[in-house]
Amino acid sequence: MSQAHRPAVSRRNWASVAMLMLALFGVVLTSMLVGSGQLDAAHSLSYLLSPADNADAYVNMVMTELRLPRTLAGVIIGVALGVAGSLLQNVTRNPLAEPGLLGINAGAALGVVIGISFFHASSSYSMLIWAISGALVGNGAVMLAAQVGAASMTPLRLVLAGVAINAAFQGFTSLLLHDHIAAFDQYRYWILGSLSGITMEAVGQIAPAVLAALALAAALTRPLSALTLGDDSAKALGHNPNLIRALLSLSITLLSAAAVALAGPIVLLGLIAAYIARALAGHHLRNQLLYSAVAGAFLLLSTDILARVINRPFEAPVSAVVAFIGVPIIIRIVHSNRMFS
Amino acid sequence: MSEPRLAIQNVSLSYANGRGGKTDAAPTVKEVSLQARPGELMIIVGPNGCGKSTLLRAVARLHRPDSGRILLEGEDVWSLSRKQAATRLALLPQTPTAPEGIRVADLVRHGRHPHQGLFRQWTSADEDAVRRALLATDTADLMDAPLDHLSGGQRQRCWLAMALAQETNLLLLDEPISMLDLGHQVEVLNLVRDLSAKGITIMMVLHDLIAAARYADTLTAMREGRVVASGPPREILTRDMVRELYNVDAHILSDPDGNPVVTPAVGGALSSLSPSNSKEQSYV
Amino acid sequence: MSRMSPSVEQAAPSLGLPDAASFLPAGSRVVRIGSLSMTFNLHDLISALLILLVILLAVCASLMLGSTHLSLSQVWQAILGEGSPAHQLLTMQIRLPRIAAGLVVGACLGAAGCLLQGLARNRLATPDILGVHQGATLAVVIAMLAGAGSVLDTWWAAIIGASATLLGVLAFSGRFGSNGYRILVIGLGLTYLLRAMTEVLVTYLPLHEASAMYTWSIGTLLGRDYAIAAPAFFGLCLLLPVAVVLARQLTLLQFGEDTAASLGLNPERLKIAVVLTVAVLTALSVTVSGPINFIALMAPVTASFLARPDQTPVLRSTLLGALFVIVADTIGRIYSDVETPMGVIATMMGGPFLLAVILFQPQSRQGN
Repeated sequence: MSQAHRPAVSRRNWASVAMLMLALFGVVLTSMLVGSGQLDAAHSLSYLLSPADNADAYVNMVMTELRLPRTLAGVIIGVALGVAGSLLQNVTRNPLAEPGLLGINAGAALGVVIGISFFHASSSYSMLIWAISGALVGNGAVMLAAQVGAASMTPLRLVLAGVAINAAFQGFTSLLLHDHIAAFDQYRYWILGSLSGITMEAVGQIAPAVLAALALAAALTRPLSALTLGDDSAKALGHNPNLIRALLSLSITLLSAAAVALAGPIVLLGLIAAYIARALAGHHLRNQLLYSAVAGAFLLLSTDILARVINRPFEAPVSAVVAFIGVPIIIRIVHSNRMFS
Repeated sequence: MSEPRLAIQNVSLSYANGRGGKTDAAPTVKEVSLQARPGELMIIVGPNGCGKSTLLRAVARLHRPDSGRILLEGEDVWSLSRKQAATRLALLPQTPTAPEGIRVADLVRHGRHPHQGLFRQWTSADEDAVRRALLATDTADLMDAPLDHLSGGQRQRCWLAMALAQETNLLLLDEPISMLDLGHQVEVLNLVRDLSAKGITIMMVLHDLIAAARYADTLTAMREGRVVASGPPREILTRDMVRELYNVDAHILSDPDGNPVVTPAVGGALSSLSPSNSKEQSYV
Repeated sequence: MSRMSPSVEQAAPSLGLPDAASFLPAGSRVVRIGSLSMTFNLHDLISALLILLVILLAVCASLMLGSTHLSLSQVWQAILGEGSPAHQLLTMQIRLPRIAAGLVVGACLGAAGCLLQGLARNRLATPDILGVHQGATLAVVIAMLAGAGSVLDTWWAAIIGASATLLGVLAFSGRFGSNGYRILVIGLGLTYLLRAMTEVLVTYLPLHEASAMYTWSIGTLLGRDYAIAAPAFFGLCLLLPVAVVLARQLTLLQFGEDTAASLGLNPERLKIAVVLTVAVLTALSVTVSGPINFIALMAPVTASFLARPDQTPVLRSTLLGALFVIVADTIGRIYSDVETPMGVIATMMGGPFLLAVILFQPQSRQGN
């Protein structure tokens, strides 16, 4: 519609994207250099510059088996949660929608715990399958809540329905963990949401699922733009709203489940990324998704670095650090949005 | 003339940082002085944001004036305790809320609260007051009905019954007819006039200038926080006053009883086709 | 004059006059002795007695069930000091003290939830959803880090944390009671923030304390006895009469702040009084059992089904809270060989309950 403005907007966009990419590269580098352990930044840097010269087994182990998978996982999970948050916010037309708040992550976590407790799932593949099953149930519950309430399901109500869904899933998860001591010991830290202990193998197994979901999301960008104008407008433009919603749910489910299978449930990251993306990109959906992907990765990595150094040599759960950023944003959204008064 | 029941003396107040999201209007009241006799029906009119509701709320002790005094039968209302004040003045807010499914009798009964205590929960005086309130508002038949099942006019009569059960000499009404259709408006206004005839002093804020002119003993016109004119409608209601208040050209006619009737002039010089009581119009 | 005493002649009965008896709700009785006049309602009394009866049954079941099942007569013998010493020990030293602690915890939560719902005029506004539990938990962790002793010695810190949280929610959301769901989402946000702070701080605790803290934070009555429940019990005894008086005033607040004020109420003072009472009651419950979610939601909502629309049924909510905690604890004990913490059972009961309340709560209740 605004052909004349398009190039200008685009140029500004690319500038912002470039800035964000630069920032992302910065944290990726930092993530490789900084840890909670004894290996300091200088040694890490010299290893990065010339890995071949460095024969020290310890340095090699830390860099390739701890920091590299951790950094890659941070990028993948951040992108996944950021895009999932943006998609969910646009589908539900709710600036507070987020896989964690609405209970999708908790559903995925329950799925994983069921898999571990009853079926001795241990590979990342099987965890992913269980996470997807759980996330599907969680997503179904969210959609059901949104549909049953239909007319009266205001944005804030949906968030509270998410509290209920979260509670139900978390209750079951605690119950199972309590009954299966082994699972509890193994996954006590995972259940808090953390990037530590992720292996390269796990990253390799989960990454394809994320890529597939991202491709699906990219293909759905145009129909989703139509859908944000309302079901009737989408139909008039030749789309099938229910089909779009179903496919989007699939993408959101995959993204959330992949993130949970790798790192455990991380709440509020999707909300923050989507919020930043909306602030930068306005209503332009494709840009929103792009920004939220980069912002999600940036945020998760930087909070993870913070979690590593905040209380050395122990690590704080990254989900806790994310909450420090996310909560002020929630309060801001609630106060600034007319919908919530 | 007898001692005024209500005397507002040189009251000014502003609440720029007002509560409840009213910050945009920031209505103020500037140096207002008014008096009302026992049994007088005083209606305050004026454009949106002129401070009429703020003045009413000041009398109801919901906002403390910055300066000036509000005397009730010679006593400053702010010198009374909350409970004392509640036995002497009652307020019906613009949009009262009630718990869902409440029975009319239970609503009216709660009007007795200022007269009750932990060991004086339900006296025969309470019974009499509720009975009189129900009879006066013709709501005795509705006693057992849930409030949400009633029509707008019936509901407003029940709220008036609750205020009457307080047995006060002063009743403050904030736009009691703004949500009602014409039939229900007349129903409520007739009741209000009957109540004032029984000796209760009533101070009421209205949007509807025509209804105000029809019912008021004293019509008080406010604009930008000040009283522009106050007196019997047939004395103060003039073409110039309507123009000053609402920026509308109007004809003042006389009904068969001799009361003034305001009718906006169609295609008038100042503005056309703008009804004087339109809520959407803003002059702020 | 203003304080006129209405003359009886004026109200002389005539045709069409409403019957004074029907001014009061069905089942109400008035007792007047001299200038004293008190009312009570038979229906309310009966529903309270029924809840008490169910509590009694639940207590019996809780005494009987567990890893060792006892019959009713074995329990009775143990209480009388007869029967096998093992049964006496189990009944008198383990189960009964634990039930007492549970009753106190539930009563505190039931009363607190009812008051807070009444203040916010929203059924979903409960201490746990508004972050009060988390605030108390955080304060306990801070007190432990400062060397104040174990989890159970820090009830005073919990009170400070709970009060600060509730006042914070109040400050962030503007006016109480007129913001619909806003206050709830702000409370939810604060819950996340406080939980995050707790999680970070827990990593600073020595390992054994951290793991004790973790078990405590799920919410359980395991090993609770009279001594642990004592501060909460005294607090409850002191605050329950206060709660009854506050509930009476909260009923007036249902008509809106302006109307309530013109009926002689001081809404601001009432808010502060309710906030402090709720904070103390919640904090006391948290120190006994750890944070237990949803009891403070289920109890008052169930009580409101039994009560009339213009009531704030704080006593019945108190009783129901006690009942729900005992039921949840008993279920947790018999669910599997390993004891399941009561907090987990309460969460599982409460999640679906909350969803039902959200879905079926009429829109007009939101106070927009």
